[in-house]
Amino acid sequence: MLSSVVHPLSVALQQKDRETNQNGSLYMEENRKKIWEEFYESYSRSFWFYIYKICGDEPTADDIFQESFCKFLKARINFQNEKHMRAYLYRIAYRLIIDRMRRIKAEKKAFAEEQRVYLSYIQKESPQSEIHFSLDMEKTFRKLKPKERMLLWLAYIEGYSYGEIAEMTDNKENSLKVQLFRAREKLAKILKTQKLQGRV
Amino acid sequence: MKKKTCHLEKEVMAGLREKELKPELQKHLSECPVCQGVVAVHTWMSQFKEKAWKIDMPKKDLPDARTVWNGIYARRRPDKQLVRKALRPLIYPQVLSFGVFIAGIIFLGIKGVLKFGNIFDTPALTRILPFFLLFVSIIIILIVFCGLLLALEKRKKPI
Repeated sequence: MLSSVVHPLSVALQQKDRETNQNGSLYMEENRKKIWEEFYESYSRSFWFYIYKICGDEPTADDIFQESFCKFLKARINFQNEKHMRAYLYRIAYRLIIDRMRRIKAEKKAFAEEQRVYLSYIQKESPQSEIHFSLDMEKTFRKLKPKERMLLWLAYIEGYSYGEIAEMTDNKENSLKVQLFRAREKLAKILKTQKLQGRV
Repeated sequence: MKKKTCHLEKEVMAGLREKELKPELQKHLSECPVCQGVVAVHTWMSQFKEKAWKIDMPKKDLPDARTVWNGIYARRRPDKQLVRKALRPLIYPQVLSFGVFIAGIIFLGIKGVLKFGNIFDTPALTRILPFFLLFVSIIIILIVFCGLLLALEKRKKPI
């Protein structure tokens, strides 16, 4: 029953580039573009921000961002609704990030550079305390592994359920619960340590 | 075994997102270490996102939807063109070999006619004629070859 209900973007994206009469194909193309634009305008910024926070590196985030949308537009899937589309987009990003993180070994070096750029750019624009606080939080977040960061972000910021995250990350729900629990415990432990040190 | 999940976790998370926890959930929080951890992590993550967004996102300029769309579809188009270009060199030797075959047949045919025919029964003409006919055959092949190439170019459809 649900499979017969498809999102308009899904229908538009699934249409092959058939050689209909010129007016027909032009209309289809414009319709697809319009739907795509609405979806992109709604979610692109938060999606890029998510990738950037997980990767920690702006050029990498830009690459993964573009590649994700490229794969998304090429996909031929029956989307149920916009949430399903977003979930698919995050799924693509998850795989791309994991692939990229395996290649990037000098993450600490990248963070050091990022930190320097961070400070030099925003020093004039934000109060000093806010920068330090934000940097501390950034450091804390970077203590987690990329996969842990992704799981926590998807669960606590984006609000996806265990089942949805399990599907995105190609895991079984039970093992996903364990992984998420471990990530949460790790972050909680770090925060507790920082609190004891008087940094939080 | 340490409890890893709680049946009320989902409600707690929903309450945190709405910034309103029901009294029964608040009471549960005081007793459940899992949900306490959830609250702590959720609060921290939300604060982190909010602060980092304010600092990182205003300076970030993302491409607009049309640019992304056009870029992705522009990347798709060269694939068909590349395939056509890759196949094009294979056609030239095919046509050439066919033309040479025809020329050979014509040449052998005429040579056979000359051997048995009476019309061109002069020694000089007999020597020159095969070369002349070969030359004509080559011209014909080149004309056919060019014609085929033009026909192939016209058959190309816009992507």
